[in-house]
Amino acid sequence: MTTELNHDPDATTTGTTVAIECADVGVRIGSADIVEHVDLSVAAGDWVTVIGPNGAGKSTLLRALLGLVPYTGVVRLSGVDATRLSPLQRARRVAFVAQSPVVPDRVRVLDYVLLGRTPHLPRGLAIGGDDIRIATAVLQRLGLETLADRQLDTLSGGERQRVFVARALAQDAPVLLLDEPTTSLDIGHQQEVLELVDDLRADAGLAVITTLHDLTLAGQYTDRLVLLADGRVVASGSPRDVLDHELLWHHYGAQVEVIDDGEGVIVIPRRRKERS
Amino acid sequence: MTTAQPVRLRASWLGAGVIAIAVAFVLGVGLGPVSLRLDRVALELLDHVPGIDVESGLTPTEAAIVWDIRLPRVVLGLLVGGLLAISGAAYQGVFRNPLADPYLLGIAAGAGLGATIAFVSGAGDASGVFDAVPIAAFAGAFAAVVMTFAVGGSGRRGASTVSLLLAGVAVASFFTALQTYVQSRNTDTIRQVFSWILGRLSTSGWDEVLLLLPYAAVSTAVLLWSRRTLDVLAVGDDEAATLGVNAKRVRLLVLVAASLAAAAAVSVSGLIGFVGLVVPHAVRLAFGTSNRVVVPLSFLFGAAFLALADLGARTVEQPAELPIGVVTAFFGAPFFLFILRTRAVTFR
Repeated sequence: MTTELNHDPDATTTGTTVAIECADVGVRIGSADIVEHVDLSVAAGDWVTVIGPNGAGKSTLLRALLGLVPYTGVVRLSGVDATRLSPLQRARRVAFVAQSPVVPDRVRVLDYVLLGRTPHLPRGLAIGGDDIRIATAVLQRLGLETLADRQLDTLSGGERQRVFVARALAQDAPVLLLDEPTTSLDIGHQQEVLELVDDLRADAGLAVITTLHDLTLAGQYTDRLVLLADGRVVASGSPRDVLDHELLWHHYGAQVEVIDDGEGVIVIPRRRKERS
Repeated sequence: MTTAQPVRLRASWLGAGVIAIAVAFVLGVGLGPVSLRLDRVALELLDHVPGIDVESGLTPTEAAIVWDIRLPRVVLGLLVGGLLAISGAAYQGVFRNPLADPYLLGIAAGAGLGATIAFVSGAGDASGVFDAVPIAAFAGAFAAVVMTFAVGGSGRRGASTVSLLLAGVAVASFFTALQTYVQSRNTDTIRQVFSWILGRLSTSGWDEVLLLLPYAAVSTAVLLWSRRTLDVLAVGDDEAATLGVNAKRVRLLVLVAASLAAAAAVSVSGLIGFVGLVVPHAVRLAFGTSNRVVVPLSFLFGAAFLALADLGARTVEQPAELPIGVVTAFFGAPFFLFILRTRAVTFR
């Protein structure tokens, strides 16, 4: 399998597979360019986090990668131009966790997770034994098996977020996109969800792209950061390169102190003026 | 630990629906101005099942009452009730709005205008299937829905639910205005129009049933086939798209099928309210919210509900008939309030 992949013209020279990449991607809504000239490439087992101030185009970039908005440029999934894939084929290659997913009325956890099997069902009707096995395994993997019969809207925020991730995992796609997965979670559940994503990345070799507001979390959990400002990539690389005092001041207008404790980078906001 | 099982349509639930229909069927055929013994009616029906030969003991006249008068009417009630309820379930699923009903996109107003024109022009006296009234009502309903889609679905974003709903409101107002205008210029037919608007099932043999059958078959098949996709739609258009489902296309298909079902039902029965609203909600309360369950069971219980309501309509004030819409509202509205209260206590 690995040798085969090495012969794939879309595989990189290092032998790892590029699960998702985009070249010169732009999104124009009305007369405004929301995203411009973005190049990005994420290999299986890698995690890239897109950061940037409000309105930088982070979510729009994810939506372009998912084919939810019209875009210019090229998005390739496992080497195939995404525009040449049917909606079902695309859904088998990219799974998505929205920032605040809609919870259907009184849906149970297991039924919600099984929605993730939709792209694999023949003409959308019958759920088979395989689908139930996969969904149950995902629930176990995420420590949710005791909640399978519960109604989703009765769960706590942290449990819900794990169920949303479970639905995406049941989709069994090599690429996982998460839009602000830590929104509305307390600090403990933020760490829990990001640890989970990191384990999945490592275990299942998922290519992961997230957007994150919290720069310290971004710096601690991900290998590579992409700083987006006004729709363009203004910095990209390791957390130490991107989480730079000058860059953050310039693009966020934020006064911060960046501390490198040897394990990771910590971004601390500082008040601009001393009180007199 | 017992493994959780996904929601599915259980055989016992289907069985409950079939039993409800059977009860409505036997009572509907047996009860009426001429009282027939229920056991003999059952035997008479059984006698016509291929391979079974029993003696019912009904006189030829009684047998004719069963076959030519009561049976077509009960079957028509079952069909109309099933179509209105399945159509309501589909509308609620598509619009993700519990208040949606089959008349939402202008069907009632369009059918009302069509029927009023038929009465006023003297072309129809509302008897017989080849009468102008059902044809005009169907045409009016069809025109209203097409206009709603043309106005509400032509925006840059395609058929978004909000623009469709607003277009439905506007189209309904427009058709109602026309209908009121036509009606007020021809006050001599007001009684007929009024009676049609309140809804009634009347049959001349099997004609109405045969007219309704092809529409019922096609629209029900499409809605049953779409029921799981409707569950996917419940997570919103964008997320449905990331699961490989084209929400706009599904919504259009389901709405066309549901509108066809409702328009066909209205054309033979007039405007029967509340069935499309109450029955799917009762089903959700009893069996859960998945469309895989709600859509098929709504058809079965809607059928039984309307056949029983019709029984009430024609027996309570014998030999006079109440408009069936009065019966469905009389029982439907309090029941709807009961559901609202139960849900409010349990789920909020």
